Amino acid sequence: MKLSLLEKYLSCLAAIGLMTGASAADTPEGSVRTEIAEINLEAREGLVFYPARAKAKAGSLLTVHFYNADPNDMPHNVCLVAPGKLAEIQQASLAIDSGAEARGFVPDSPAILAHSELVGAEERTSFSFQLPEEARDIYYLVCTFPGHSMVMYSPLYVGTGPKLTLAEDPEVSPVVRQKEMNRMAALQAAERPSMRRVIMDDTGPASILVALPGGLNYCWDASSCRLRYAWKGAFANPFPHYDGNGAKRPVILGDEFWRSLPGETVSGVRPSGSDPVQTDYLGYDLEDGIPTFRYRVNGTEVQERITAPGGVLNWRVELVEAPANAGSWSVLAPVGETAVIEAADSKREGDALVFSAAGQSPIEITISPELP
Amino acid sequence: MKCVSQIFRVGVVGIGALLISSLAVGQGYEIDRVALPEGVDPEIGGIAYMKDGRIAACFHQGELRIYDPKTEEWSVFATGLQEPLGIVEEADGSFVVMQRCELTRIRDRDSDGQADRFENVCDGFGVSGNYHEFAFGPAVSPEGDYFIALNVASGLGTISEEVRGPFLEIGFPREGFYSDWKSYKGKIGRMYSRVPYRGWVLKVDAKTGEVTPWASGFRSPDGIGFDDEGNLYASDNQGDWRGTSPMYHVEKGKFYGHPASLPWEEGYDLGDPLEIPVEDLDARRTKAAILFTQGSMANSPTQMLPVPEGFGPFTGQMVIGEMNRGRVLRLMLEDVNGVRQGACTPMIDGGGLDAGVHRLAFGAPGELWAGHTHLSWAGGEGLSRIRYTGKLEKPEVLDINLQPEGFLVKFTQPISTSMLSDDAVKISRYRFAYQRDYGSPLFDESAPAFTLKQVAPDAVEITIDEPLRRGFCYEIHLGGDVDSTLCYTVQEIPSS
Repeated sequence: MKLSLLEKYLSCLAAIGLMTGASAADTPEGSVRTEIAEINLEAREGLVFYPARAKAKAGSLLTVHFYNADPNDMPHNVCLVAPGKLAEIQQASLAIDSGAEARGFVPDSPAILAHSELVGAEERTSFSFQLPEEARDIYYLVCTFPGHSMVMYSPLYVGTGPKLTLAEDPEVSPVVRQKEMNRMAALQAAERPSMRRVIMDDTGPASILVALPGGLNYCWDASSCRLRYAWKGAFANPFPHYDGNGAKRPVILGDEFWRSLPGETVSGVRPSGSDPVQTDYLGYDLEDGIPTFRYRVNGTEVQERITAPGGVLNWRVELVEAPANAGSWSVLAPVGETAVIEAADSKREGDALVFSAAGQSPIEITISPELP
Repeated sequence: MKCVSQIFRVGVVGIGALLISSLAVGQGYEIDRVALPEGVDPEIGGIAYMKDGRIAACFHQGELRIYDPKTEEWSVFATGLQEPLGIVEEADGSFVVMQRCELTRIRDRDSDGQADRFENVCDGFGVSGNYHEFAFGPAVSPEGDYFIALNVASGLGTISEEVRGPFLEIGFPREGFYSDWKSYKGKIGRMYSRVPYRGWVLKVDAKTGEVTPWASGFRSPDGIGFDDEGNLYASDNQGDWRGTSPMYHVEKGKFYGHPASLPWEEGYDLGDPLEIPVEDLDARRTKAAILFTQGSMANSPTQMLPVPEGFGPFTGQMVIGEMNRGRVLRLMLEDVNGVRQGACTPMIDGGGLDAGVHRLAFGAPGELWAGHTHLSWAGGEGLSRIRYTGKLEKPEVLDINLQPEGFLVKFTQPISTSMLSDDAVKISRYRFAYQRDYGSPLFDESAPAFTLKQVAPDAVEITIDEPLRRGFCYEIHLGGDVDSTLCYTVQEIPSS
C-alpha cells in the first residue's frame, strides 16, 4: 500500500484531531503538518546498532528504516520500546516460548510500541510510529532476537537530547561505550605531525593546534597571527567538539609549559614601538607535515615555523625581503615559570624579544619546558 | 497515538564489492552508497566532481579525501581543516574550501597527491566562537567569483572570550555573554549577529579575496548556488522569522527577512534589530522564491544545483537536497511580474538514499553525487551516487506555470484519464506567519474547489474556483499514474 504524501499528512492530521473535514474553511488557529522523523538504523558487526543513539521530535511520525549490515549473517529485528521498559523487554526476550519464532522473537508486551519484522543479512525493512506530542523521554530501539537485547540497543531521545558524551551516557549500549573509550585511549597516541583546526575558548576562533614529532604541541592563532601556547605530552581530544553540535570545545591533553598574553588585539611580531599593527593572514605551507605560517605585518611578509628537535620548541621567525630600513622588530614572547626562553641575536624588552630586521632575521627562539 | 504502522520492504537489487548496496528507487533513479575508509568520521560537509572524474569530499573532522569511482579507492589529500562545508575545484586543479572561519585555496605544488599550500582567500568576516556560526559555499558566479553565506549565532549558546572582527555594541552588553550566561540567556535574541556579516551573503573576489557584502537577512543559509541563467539563490532553515524553510532569489542590496544581520548594513541607524517593528521588517524584506512546507516538502533544504543534460527530462531546472530525510527535491521556477517564484516537488525519495542530503555534485552524464552529514542534528552520513536509469517509469510533472486563475501543469509524457478522475487531484492552500517565534503553523488552510481541463495529451490546466492569493502555498497532489505532490509558492500573480 502506498499513500500519497498529502493523504498521509491529511490522515495524520485527522487522526490527531487537528482537522475537522476535508473542506475546512479558513482555519483561525492555524495547523501544523505532522513532522516526519526518519531514522536509518543499521545492524553492524558485534551486535551493535548504528547510530548508537538517535533523536526525534515529540509529535513526529517516526519511521525507522532498518538495514541488517551485520557481516556475520545473523538475523536482527528492531522493537520500539517504551520509556523505562528496556530492562523489562531485555528480560522478556530471554524467555523463548513455543510461539516466539512465529512472532519474529518479538516479546508479547505492551511496552513494545511498534516493531519491524526479523530480517536476514543485507535485508531492509521499515516501520512507522506516531510519537506522542509533549513527550520528553528516552525510548529504545532494541533487537529482541534471542541473546541480542542486552547489548544491541540504541536510546531514542524524544523531545530531548543526550547531555553526556557517548562514552559517558548510561543509556548507550555498554558495547558502544567500551568502543568509544578505546577510541579516546587511541588519542593518547596521536599521529605526529598532525593538525586540528577547531574553536578553542582560550584563544582566537581561527586557531590551529599542531602535534609535533617529539611530543610537544602548540596552538597558533590565525586571527591575531601569533603563537598562543604550548604543551608537552598527549595532544588534544577533539571528540567533545566533533561528537556534538560544536558548542563543546576540544580538551587539551598533556601539560602546558608556556603561554603568551591573552587578548584578540595583541600583536605578535611587529616593528618595535608600532602597536597596534595591521596583520593579514596569508596561510601556511606544509613541509614534512609541519606548517610554516605566512602573514603580512604592515605590508612585510613574516614566516613562522615551529619544530621540536631534542624535546624543546624551536620557533623560527623570518621577515621575508625586509627592506634595509626596516629597523628593529619584536616578537611577543613573555617569560613563564615552566619554560626557559632563549634567543641569540636579540635582546629582551619586557614581554618581547627585539631584533634587527635587516641583520638578524630569521631569529630562532628556543622554548624549553621546565615542568615540575 | 498510532497513526501509520505499516511494514514494507525495499528490494535489494545488487551488492557490489565495495559499494554497500544498490537500490532501485522505482522512479527512474537508482542509488549506490559508497563504502568509506575504515575508521573515518562519515560526515561529509562538501563534495566536488573533479575534472578527472574523481570526487573530492571534505569531512567533519577536517580531511579532504578523494574517491576514485574507477578503482573504488579513497586517498587523503589534506587534513586539519575546520568544519569544511563546501568545496569547488578550480581550473588549475586547486581546491577552494569553505572552512568555518576562512575560505581557503588548497594547492598541491609538487604534484605528489598531497596538499602542501593553504592560502587564505578570504577571512574578512567575524567569528564569535558561537557554535552556530557555520559558513557555507562557495558558489561560483558566471564571472568566476565566489559567493559565501554565513550563519547567525544561536541564542542557545554564548561566545568565546576572544572573537574575530569588531564586536557590535548595539544590544545586550558583551560582558553579559561571559558573566552568569544562563540567567542572561534569552535576552540576546533567539539568533544574533554581533560580529560582521553574520547572516549575510558575501561576494568574494576570486583573485584578490576582496569582500563585497551582497545581501542580508539570512538565518542558516546552508545552500547557496547559481542557476544556468546566472541567478543566485540561497536556502534557509525554518526558525525565527522563518515560518517554514525558504529558498530566496538573492540580489545585491536586498534584505531577506531575518533582522539580526541588519546592523552590518552601511549607514544602519535603526537601533537594536530586536526592537524593529514587524511591519517595518515585513515592508523591507524580499520574500521567498520557494517555501518548503515543513513536514511535507523539506525541513532543512540544502544545496541547490542546475540539472545538466542526461539526468532525466529536467535539464535547466534545479535540484536541492534535504537534511531530514533521504530526499532530493526538484524546483520549477519562473518569472512572474519580474519576480522569481515557483514550485518544489520530491524527486528522489528514500529507496536507500540516506537522510542528510547536504551537498550535491553532478558527475558523469546521468550521475548525481550526494554527500551526507548531520552535525548532531537530523541527517545522515557518507557518500551516495544517484544514477538516472534512462527511463522514467511513470509520467512526472515536467513543469508548472502560474496563470491568472490557476496553474498549467505539463507532464513528461501523455497522461491517462485516470489522473483526471474525481479524487485523483487534491489541492490545499495555506500560508505561514512572518514572526519572531520559531517556525509557524499553517494558517488559513483550506481545500479550494477547482476544475481540471486537459489542454494537451501531456498538459492539464487547473482553475481554482476562488481568486488566487499572494503569499500562499498551493500544495497540489496529482494522483492516478502521476502520483506526486508539488507545492507552488504564489508571491506574484500574472495579470490576465
